[in-house]
Amino acid sequence: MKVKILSNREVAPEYFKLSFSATKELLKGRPGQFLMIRGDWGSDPFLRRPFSIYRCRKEDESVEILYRVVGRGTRLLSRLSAGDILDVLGPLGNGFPVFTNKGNLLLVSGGVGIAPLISLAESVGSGISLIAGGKTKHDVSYIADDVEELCIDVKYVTEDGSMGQKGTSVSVMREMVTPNDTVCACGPFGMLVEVQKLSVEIGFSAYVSCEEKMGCGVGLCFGCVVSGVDGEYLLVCKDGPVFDVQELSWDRNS
Amino acid sequence: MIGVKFSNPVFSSSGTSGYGLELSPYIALGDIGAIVTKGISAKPKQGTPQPRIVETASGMLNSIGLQNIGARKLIDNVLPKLEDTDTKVIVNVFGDNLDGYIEVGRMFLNEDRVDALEVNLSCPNVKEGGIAFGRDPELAAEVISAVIDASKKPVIAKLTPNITDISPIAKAVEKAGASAISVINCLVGMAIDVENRRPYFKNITAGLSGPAIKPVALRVVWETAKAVDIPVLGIGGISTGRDALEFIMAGATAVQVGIANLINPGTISDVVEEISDFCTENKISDLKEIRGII
Ligand SMILES: Cc1cc2nc3c(=O)[nH]c(=O)nc-3n(C[C@H](O)[C@H](O)[C@H](O)COP(=O)(O)OP(=O)(O)OC[C@H]3O[C@@H](n4cnc5c(N)ncnc54)[C@H](O)[C@@H]3O)c2cc1C
Ligand SMILES: Cc1cc2nc3c(=O)[nH]c(=O)nc-3n(C[C@H](O)[C@H](O)[C@H](O)COP(=O)(O)O)c2cc1C
Repeated sequence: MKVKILSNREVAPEYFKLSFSATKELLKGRPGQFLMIRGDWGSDPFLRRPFSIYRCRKEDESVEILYRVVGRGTRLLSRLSAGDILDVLGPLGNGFPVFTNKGNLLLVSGGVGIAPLISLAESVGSGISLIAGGKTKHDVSYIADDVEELCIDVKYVTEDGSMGQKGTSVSVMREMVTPNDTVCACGPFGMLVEVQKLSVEIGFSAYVSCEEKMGCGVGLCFGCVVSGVDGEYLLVCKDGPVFDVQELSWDRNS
Repeated sequence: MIGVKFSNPVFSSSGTSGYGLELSPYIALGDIGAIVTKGISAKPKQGTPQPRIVETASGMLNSIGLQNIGARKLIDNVLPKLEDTDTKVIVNVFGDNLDGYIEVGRMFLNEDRVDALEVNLSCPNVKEGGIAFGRDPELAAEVISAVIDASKKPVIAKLTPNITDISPIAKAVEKAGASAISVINCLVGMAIDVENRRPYFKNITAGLSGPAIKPVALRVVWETAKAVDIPVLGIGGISTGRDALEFIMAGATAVQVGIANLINPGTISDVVEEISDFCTENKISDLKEIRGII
């Protein structure tokens, strides 16, 4: 469906927040669900790109995504401006479960993996704990205004120590997490592998939002498979992108 | 065509529309001339490990490796759900060898919801079967007549463009009793990861599809239509009504929309509407008037 871009701002080097006017259908999007997006740019690049819902502002009837420029599609996206048309399919996939007890919920992100977790934090309510990690300050700094607006209890972690604690989000999580906690994580594959290992070691439960290159986002092409724990393939777009960390085989995915 | 009454000549192509049901949130299945399912084998198949997709200029390379749920699950879990829809159902089938083709064909013998089988003689991504059959006229003919015998259904032969001259093979499957020919399956292509100095795909080569292949597809459809008297189903990079009209003018009786479904799962409705608008504007009452005029 065609929507109009309201704003597309660079919020840190290579990171953009893009907000667009949303239909009722899009506003139904739940935390962890994603959208398949392309600009009005003819047949090259052809495929849509998947992005998590970052903010869903029902009162303004707008949806926001957060993206990092990593290749051609995201570069083209970064050149669009307010008033331009965007083609959006969604909301798609299974989001995070509905959590009733926010007390033992811990959100853990690496880099742009923060996107679905901000929307999860918003839906769960103020006071939720978030560990936001990145290589350097620019990989996390841009969430500050949303964190403040949503009263999220955030710990920043950077590998070079340029913002918050020095380390990785997993190293900080390791110090905080208890067996009764439920961790929701999104970030690079290596980080999710560590979350899985720790969940077995410490005994907490965990949900992760996974990424794989997608052809369609709606189950037509079987492109975005990940290995399930029994060796069978699961589709990130239909069976995920949020999985219970124990549902997946973390050896074969590497 | 092929003894089946299709409501329109725009079908969804195999592997780009799941098992059909996946399209239903985006398009009334009855608006699709026929759904061609993902390639089905007698037993389920896992397919290839990641990476499976890489985008290329106006297209994509895929190496899905014919992952599918197997004929039994299709019959038990999918076909009943298609019972209430008024689209036609064409099951795309393949085997690792001749017996595999016969086995899967036989499983559809009594399946009345299935209007026809499309036999894949052209998958570029699997070693055992597929393309090897589609490059040898005798083998191709043998497979086609065996599947007709086993299934008693109209059988469509899906051929590969990865061959010097399509006409010997097209004539051979026609003689073997094929009701129609689908062309083209993906072109064989490859991509290299320069940083790592390695082929991008584990199989090295993969299947290219999308707008990038349309000119080649059109040429192969035109050559096939010249070579045989049975209907030709045109496939390759179709995403608009005008694309479809090109294929019809090149000799196609019907067309299949492939990866355009991935970008917009409602594409087929737009294609059907655009064809019909063109016919109205140009006072064409039957597509026969423009079919194969080139
Ligand atoms: C469910 C889901 C949700 C996502 N949410 C977000 C989000 O909120 N914000 C965000 O910035 N990104 C997100 N991504 C990743 C995003 O889709 C890719 O970064 C984007 O498709 C890259 O497109 P491109 O044309 O710029 O890059 P390309 O030219 O296609 O590729 C450039 C580089 O990006 C990598 N890449 C491409 N596609 C993906 C992918 N799907 N996943 C991981 N790496 C990829 C390639 O391997 C390559 O190294 C998400 C991916 C998925 C599957
Ligand atoms: C992801 C993907 C999976 C495919 N799977 C099959 C298949 O299982 N059987 C088959 O006969 N063709 C398969 N094809 C080929 C398509 O049906 C079609 O012939 C080809 O993609 C060219 O059309 P297009 O350019 O419109 O996509 C597949 C294509 C793609 C892109």
